[in-house]
Parts: sequence; structure tokens; C-alpha cells
Amino acid sequence: MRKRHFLGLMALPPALWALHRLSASRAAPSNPLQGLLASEAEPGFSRVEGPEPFHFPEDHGPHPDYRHEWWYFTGNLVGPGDQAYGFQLTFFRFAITAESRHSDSRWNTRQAMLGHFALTDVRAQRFHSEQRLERPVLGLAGMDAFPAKLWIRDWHARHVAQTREAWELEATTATHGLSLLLTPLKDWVGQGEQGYSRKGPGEGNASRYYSGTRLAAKGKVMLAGTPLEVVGRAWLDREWGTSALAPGTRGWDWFGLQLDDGSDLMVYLLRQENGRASSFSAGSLVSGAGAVIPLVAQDLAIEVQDTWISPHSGRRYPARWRLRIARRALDLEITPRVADQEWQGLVRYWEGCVTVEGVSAGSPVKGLGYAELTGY
Amino acid sequence: MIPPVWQILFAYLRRRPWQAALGVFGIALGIAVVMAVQVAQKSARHSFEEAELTLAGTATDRILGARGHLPEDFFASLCLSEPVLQASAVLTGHVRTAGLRPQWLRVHGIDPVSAAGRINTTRTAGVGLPALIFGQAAGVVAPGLISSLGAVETPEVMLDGPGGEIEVRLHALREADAALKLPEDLVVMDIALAQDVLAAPGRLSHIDLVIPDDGNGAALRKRIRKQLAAGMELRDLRADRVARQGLGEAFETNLTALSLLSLMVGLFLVYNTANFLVVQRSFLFTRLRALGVRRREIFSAILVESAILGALGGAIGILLGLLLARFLLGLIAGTVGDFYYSVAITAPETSWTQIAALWSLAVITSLVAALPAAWRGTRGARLAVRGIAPASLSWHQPLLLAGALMTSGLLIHRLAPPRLWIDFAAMGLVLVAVGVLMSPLLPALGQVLARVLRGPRWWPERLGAANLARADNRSGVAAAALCLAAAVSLGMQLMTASFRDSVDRWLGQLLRADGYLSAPESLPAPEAEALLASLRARLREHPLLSETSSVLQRERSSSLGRIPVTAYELPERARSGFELLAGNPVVVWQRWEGEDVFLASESLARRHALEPGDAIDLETDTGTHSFTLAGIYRDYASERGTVAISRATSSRHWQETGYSGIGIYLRAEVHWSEVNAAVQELAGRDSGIRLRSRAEIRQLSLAIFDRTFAITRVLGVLALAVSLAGLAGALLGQLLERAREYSMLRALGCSRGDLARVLLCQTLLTGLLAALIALPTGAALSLFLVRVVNLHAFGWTMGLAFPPALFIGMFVSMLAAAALASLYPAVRLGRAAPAQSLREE
Repeated sequence: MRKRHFLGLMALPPALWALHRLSASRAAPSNPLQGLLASEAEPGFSRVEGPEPFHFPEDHGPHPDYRHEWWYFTGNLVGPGDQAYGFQLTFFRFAITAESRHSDSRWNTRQAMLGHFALTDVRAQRFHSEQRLERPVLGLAGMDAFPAKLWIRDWHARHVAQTREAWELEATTATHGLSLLLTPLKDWVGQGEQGYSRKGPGEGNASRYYSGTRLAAKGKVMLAGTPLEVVGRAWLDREWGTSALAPGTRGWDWFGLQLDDGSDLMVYLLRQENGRASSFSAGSLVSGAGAVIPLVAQDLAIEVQDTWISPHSGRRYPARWRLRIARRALDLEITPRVADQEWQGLVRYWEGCVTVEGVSAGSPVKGLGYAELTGY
Repeated sequence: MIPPVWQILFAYLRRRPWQAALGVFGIALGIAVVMAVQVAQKSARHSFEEAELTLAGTATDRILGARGHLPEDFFASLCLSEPVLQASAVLTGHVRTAGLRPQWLRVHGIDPVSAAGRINTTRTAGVGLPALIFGQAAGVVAPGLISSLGAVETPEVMLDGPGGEIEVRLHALREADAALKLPEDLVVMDIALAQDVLAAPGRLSHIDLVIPDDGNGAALRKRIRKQLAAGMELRDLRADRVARQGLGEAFETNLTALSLLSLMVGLFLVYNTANFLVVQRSFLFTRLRALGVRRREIFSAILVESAILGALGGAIGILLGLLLARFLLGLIAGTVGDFYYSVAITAPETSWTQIAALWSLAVITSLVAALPAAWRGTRGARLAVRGIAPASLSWHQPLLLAGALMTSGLLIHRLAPPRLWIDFAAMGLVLVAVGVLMSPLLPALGQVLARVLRGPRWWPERLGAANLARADNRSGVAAAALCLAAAVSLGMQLMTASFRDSVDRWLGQLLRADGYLSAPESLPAPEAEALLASLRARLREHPLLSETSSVLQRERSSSLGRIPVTAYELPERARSGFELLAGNPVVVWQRWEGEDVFLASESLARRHALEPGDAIDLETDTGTHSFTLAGIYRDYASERGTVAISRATSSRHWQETGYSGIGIYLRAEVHWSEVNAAVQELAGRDSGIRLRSRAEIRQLSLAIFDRTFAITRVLGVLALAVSLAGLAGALLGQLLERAREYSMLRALGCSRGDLARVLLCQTLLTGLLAALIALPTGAALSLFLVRVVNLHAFGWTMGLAFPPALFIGMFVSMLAAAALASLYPAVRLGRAAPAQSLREE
């Protein structure tokens, strides 16, 4: 019985897909988060059932009636001496039950929040990551609707819109830290059909999904206690829903790439147990001017050209890809900037900064981006 | 291709499969006992460690509030000011299951979400707790609790707490998480539900912290201390845990001792068997040598054979050991349950390393045992082909060896630092020395008796004695195993008897009141204390009673760490219940109520090297106060030790209104039944208050004592049984060896009864010698256990008791067992057709 639940539960929290794999693997110890997500989506949650326009700035804030939601910030930064860094700051929200229990306790809530913060030092080839899991009570963590603000203790992401719209990010660990202002350089892009992103067959197996594909980043990072001024480019993925993946889906590879010709490319490949990509794999290409071209599974051709075996988990991850989109005359080679960007501990997955090099419509093109690999 | 010599040896065993079986069985039995004790011990320890870990996690520190409560806002502000701090809020309390058979449960309210994020903080997180309890009216319990509620699967249970009745679904800890243990009276729930059930919104019981063990940790502790409000306390949990470990250590020491001793007996048995298989065929070897087989070939064939048998026996022994371990586990769990809390120990635990180690032990021991015999067996070209293998070791060799072993044992004990394992090592050496002594003594005894028994009527006995006299050292080894097992068993029994005797006398002196009142055990402490307090108020002026006394037990922080502090309110005549081992009674009782003095139990004083006049600091309601040690008293109640103060002293420093127990003193000529009825009347029929007489308390305490040492007895009996099997095996081997002789005797007209007498005499003499040596050795061993081991382990001194019944019992049972050992061989011998045996030769 429980096994079935796992398939139903994996609505699409990217990082948490890995978790599903972990819980399914017999050798792995029982995982705390697995329980968190082990319940089938009970009736009572809202579901995403079709295309619908976004309402900004409200949609930057939480949608607590859906089962899960996330704010996914990633980006490539440059510091003094042209040193390159990658960062990830993610806030996840999960509603564990659809209905609230009646209670006099201030601890009573049906929501839980998970934060993931990672910094990659490209030159030193180091990856530093830390997670926080907290319930949004007593001011320990929380979500404000308007203006949108997410926080877990002293980590936060805040949407500000005084003179110009921006996101403020703040996260520190005992040794590392991040303080960035992200200013969108393009409009928000609704992925799929006006933000209606289907993840499998069946009603409601979809999420609302929009991206900020190119945000200017400026601020500071703290690396092992040393603060550094940085600038760079960031990417925001926002998604919420109550969806479930089709049975037989093994994991996915997600790429958010920013090319130096001004275009941005998002691609996700849902991998099936039989090794093939699901027909629900998709993507989008956003031109420098902001025109959006949706991509479907048939448009995408990805070959894995190298693999890397994690010394921590023994898992084998792809470590270089050739991505071709014939329809757009794109032929790109994607390479991780640091091989070991594997998340340890509670959730195991690979999320890291990558470089891109290739040809776009006959001209050479370069770029940077982030990749996420789950289900390995 | 298998070398011909090997084929011959294997063919020999094939023709006598039960001989090989006997060898394998001997090895298996020895290994099984060792395995069982080790596995049981390890599993029990693991279970209790897990139970501890499940609740406390890997927390290093704990913040406690004044009077047991902390505001939850303090938790929030602490976490926000120290964002990296790993902190878990916990609310505990008690609720009752509503229904026909109400049962008290401990509530453990946690935040499963943050716990999951800090996977190591609270092990309960690993249960998949969030999905089960987060935001829900649900709790997680040990599977045993659900069955004790008479339910299957996940029952909805009404919990009746201060917050009224709330329906809660109980989930059993999943089997997949069996590595996690919950005490069987505990329900883990979401902290929001716990606050509802306990009607404690805004309140926490404590905050568990994981603070890194480095310079940052020290600075962090300092910052946290600054934030603490008045009455809050930051406590080092590791120090507490060390104290608890010490507690368990004493218990484990006993088990380790038994395990080592059974290992010794087991090794003897393995040695005996392997040796036997070689010696038995010395005739065959000499013949092979005479036929021109090279010595090396025979030698290696013997070793290979021993290794194979050892491997086989080891494997069987490991399986047997696992079965036995299940049985032992029950005994251990019962003992710990008496002292701590009951935890279901699901299955014996073992590791491949342990199995491999024991298995190689079996193989190596068989090899080592076979070596000397193989060497002898292959040297045999010069020996008469039809001869019996002569006793190989000369007289002085074993004597020298025994002397050397004994001396080194004694030296180790004298010179090495007083550590428990060193004590055991020394003890082991001396015991082995005693065992070694058996091999020259047995033939000597045989010789003497063979000379003494001259009359013609005694010829079978003479023959039996003569058999011993010419016995090879295999019989000596069997006798040594028997002797050691008996000595160890007796030693443990004597130690237990001494201990029991001391406890009994102590109870006799301590229990001065005519009756003792206690609240139901299931009742949470605060309720129980309040119940007794209200009862005592009503009893004080009761016409049937002349006086009442009271005790209140508390864990308090002190300069010695957390220690139990007991406040006594005693009438004059009860003071003699304290047997003072140090301190002047007159002075002690003069200062007892008016000054800040305390009495330390013997184990506490020993543990912390306290002497009268020393002072300790105790955290009181008004701050830290110094208390002076007035005297040291005998107390077997707790291995950790206790501080005893007067209730008057306690009241000066702590605001307490309750009691943990009440003693009542009857007026003259008042009948017990009258008092009992009166007390029940006063307390209310369903209060669950129990009145126990002095005799009942004494009986109850001794019953617990007996349960604690049940495992000692079982292991003693096991060791004895194993060694008896060895003895029977040795005798059987001898019979085989001399089948021809016995057949000849039968052919000459000697009756079956005569032959049985030969055998009986032989085993009885062996048993007798073993007993004669085992009895004094056992007595010496008990002395050592009482004076050295127990003192080191528990910090208790006790009187020695040598009940003659134990000695006589051991003596008789050894002889009876020895006689029993001759039974089967005698029956076999009786059945054998002499003509056939003769022809076979």
C-alpha cells in the first residue's frame, strides 16, 4: 500500500524527487522526509486544472491551498579577480494535510517549510550546502502574501517593488552566506501553456509554473567567513500545485541556461524507468527580446556524454550533455563547473552550476546556467 | 585429488559418523554458549541505548525551565537569535486512556518537522513521523502498547488529560524502524496536540540542543546562558548520559563476566573434543607411520580434519547460540525493566563480524587443540603398534604451568590499576591455572585408589581407578572443564547469596515503619505526590496510628552532576534504620534537622570519594547552597548513590508539598486489617493507593533481586551442562578406544553390571576430584567477586555468606551429574556384541 503512495506523492518538488528514489531503495535508511510526503494528496487541496493568467505581484506570494510550492533561485556570480561562484536558495512549502485540526496551540499548522542553500566555489571546486526545515509558527519561519516574503529563521527571500521590482535574498550558515538583490531583466515567463505545466496524464496532474529567466544579481557572498562583492545572473523558478507524476517516472534532468546571445533556455526531461524521456518533457526558449517559444518533448534531443560517480553516495550522475533542438538550430554542450555538487544527507540530488558552449543558428554561442538531476 | 592419508582419515570418520558428530557437537555447544551471551548482551544494550536515543536523540544539552516549564516564546527567540542552533522543543506530560481499563501514558510532544531537518537531533524523526503525526490527532507508540490496549493496527483511543478527552489515532512504530525503540508507556505526538491534550498552550517542558564540541560550542553555550531567564538551566546531557552509562556498566559487567567464563568453559570443551579425535586414532597413525606414510602428511591431514570439524561445529554452534540468545534476552530485558523502563527487545542482534570472529575462534581452537596431539600422534613410529597413547605430559609440566598462570594472575591483580576487566583477566588466569592442575591430579588420584582398592570384590572399581591413572590428558581436560564450570557457578551463586543476605539484612534494618503507602505506579509523579500529601494530612491525627513518616525523591543538580536527593521525615525510632558506615551517629542526628547536612549512600561516597566533613553544592530554589556530609550509610537501593537529607532541611531550600512515599506506625494492639480498611476508606476505594506491610516490602524487594540474578543462575547451569556433556563425551571416547578391552572382559564372563561399575567409578572419581577442587575455588571466587568486582562495579560492600546448602548441593549435583555421564556409555557398552568388537580388531 505504502509503495503506491510514493508514486502518488511525488507531485513535483524537484529536490524531493531524489527523496522518492531514496525511499524506494531498500538499502537506504528510512527517510524522515519520505514520511512528510508519503500521504496521497487527500481531497480538499486545490488543483491546477487548466491555463489561467498569472496575477502579479500576488502570485509571487504563497498559495497555501495547493499541496506544494517552491521559490527556486539559482545563479552564476562573479567576484573579485573574476572568481566564479554558483548559488542556490530554495524555499519549499508543503501542506501536510488539507484541513487544519482545531487547536489552541500556536504550533498548530498544516504547513511545513524547507530551505536549501548552496554555494559553489568554482575555482576551489568546493560545494557548500545546508538545509533548514521548520514549521511556519512562532515567527520561526513563515510566508507573507503581499509583499511576498518567505523566511526560515534568518534566511529569507523578499519581493520588493518600490522603484523597481526585485527579490532580496539573504541566507547564512555558520561559515557561508549570501546577500543578493535580484532585478528581473525580462518579463516573467509562464511555462507550458500560460503557466499550465502538465506533469503527467490525468486531471490535475499539473502545476502552475513561471520563471524569471534572467535576473541581474548584485550583492555579497560569504565564503568560509570571507565576504566578497559579487555580480551575476540569476534564475527564478516558481511552481505550485497538487500534482502527481505518472507511474514509472524515474526522475528528471532540468536545465536553466542563459546564453550570451541574450536568449534563455529551460528544458526538463522526465526520465522513465525504461530509460526513455516521457512525452510530458518540455521546455521553453526565451529570446533576448523576451519572445517565448514553448518546446515539447519531440523538439528535444539530449545525449549524455560523460558520467560522474559520487564518492559520497556511489550514485552515477550524468556529467556532460549534448542538447540539440533542431527546430531552433541549437546544438549545445553542457558541462558542470564543479563535478561534486551533490546534496548530502536528508535529500540526495545533484544541483549545480554549468557552462554551455555550442552553436545557435550557425553562430557560436556560450553561456552559464544551472542543472538539476534527480532520481539517480 | 585428495591425498590418500586424508582419505583414510575421512573414511575412519565416515565409518564412525557419530564420533565425528560428537566432536562437532562439543564444539557447537561451547560456541553456542559464548554466542548466546554475547548476542543477548549486545541486543539488550542496543535496545536500551536506542530507547534513550529515540527520545533524547543526539542532543548534547538541554534547557530546563523553572518548575519544569518553559515559555514557547523563549524557544522562538532563542532560535531566531541563534539561527544556526539545532534546537528541539519538547513538551512532556501524562494522560490516561479513557475506557474500561484506564492506563497512564507518558506524552512526548515534539516538532517532527524541525526534527526531521536535523536528522540526528531526535531519532524519532526517522520513523517517518511527520506524515504520521504532523498536524494530526495522532501519536506513535511501541507496538507492544497497542497490543496491551487490546487493539490491532491503528486504534483510535480517547486520551484523557488535563485538556479533556481527545480522540487520538495511535500508530505502532513500524517494523521497518525496529531499530528505533520507544518505551512501552510512551506516546510520541505533535507538540501542538501535546499542548492541547495537556492543556498547556504556550508551554514547553524542555529544549534539546545539539551543540558542537569545539570552541564555537563553548562560546555558543555562553551566549545561550546569557539569554536564560531566572530559574532556567542549561544542562550538559552528556554528563547525565555518562552517569547513566555507568549505571548500565555495572549491570553489563556482570554479563561480561559470565560471557568470559562461559567462553572459557566453551574453549575447554572445544579443545577437549579436538584433542579427543586425534588421541583416539593414535593407533591408526602409528600404523600409518609404520606403513611408511610421512609424518608431515599425517600431520597436515589431522590439522585439515580439525579445521573442518571446527568449522562445522562453529557453524552449528552459531545457530544454536542464536536460539539460546532469544531465551537469555527475555531474562535480561526483565531485569532492566525492573530498574529502568520496559522496552520490547525484538530480536537478537548479531553482526557478520561477530559471527566470523566466533567461527574463526571455533576453527582456531580446534587447530590449537589438535596441534599437540597431532605432533604426538605423528611421532609414534617408536611406539608399540598396539599400545595405548601414553600420558604425554610429565608431572611437573602442568604444575609449572599452573603455578605460572596463578602467579601472573595474582601479580596482575596486585600491580595493575583497579579496572574491572583487569580484575576479570586476573580471575581468568587463576581459574585456568586451577583447570590445568586437574590433568596431573586425576591420574594421581586414580593411581592411589587403584592401590587402595585391593579386595577381589572391588575389581571393577580398581579397574576404573586404573583407567584414570593411565588416562591421557583428555580426561584431565574434561575434568578441568567440569571443575571450572562448577567453580564458576558456585562462585556466582555464593556471591549472589552473600549479596541477597546483605540486602535482606539491610532491608530488615531499614524498614522501621509498620506499613508503607504508595500511589499506583502508573500515576505520574506529580499526581502521585499530591495524592499522598492529601492522604497524609488526613492520616496524621488518625486514632489507629501513632506516627507517620515520609520520603520525597528528587533528581537535583549538584556539584557532582544530577544526583538523586531523598528528603526523609523520620520519627526518632526510625533513625536506626540508617546503618552508618562512617560518621558519629550522635552528632549526625543532632545536626540532621537543624543544619544543612546530608548523608551519602555508600556508593555515592565511594564514587565521588566523599568523607564526612566534605561539602557539596546543590541547586536550590534560592540558588546554590553548600551542604556538609555528616555520615555515610549503607544502601543497596541505587548503584548511582543517593543524598539523604531531612525534610526540614529540604523545606528550608525547596518548596515541596508532596511525598513519594509514606510510612505509618501503628498504635499498640491495633490490628493490621483495621488499619488497612481505614486507609482504603480514607484514600477512596479507587485511588489505587496501596498499603504494604514491612514484610511485604521486604518480600517484594527480594523478588526483584532474585529476578535480577536469574540470568546468573541460568548461565551457571548452562556452563555446568556444557561441561557435563564434555565429560560424557570424553568417557564415550575412552570406551571406543578400549572397545576391544571391554569386549575381552565381557568375553571372559564379566557381567554388564561389572562393566557399568567400572565406568561409574571412573566418572564418579572424576566428579569427586572436580568437586573437591571446585568447592574451595568457588568459595575463593565468590570472595573475589564480592570484595573486588562488586566493589569496583557498584561501590557496595557486603557481608560474605557461605550457606552450606549451596556447597552440599553443588557437591551432590556434581557427583550425580558425573554418574549420569556414565549412564549412556554404560548402556552402549552393555549392548555391544563382544564377539563383533573383537573380530573388528
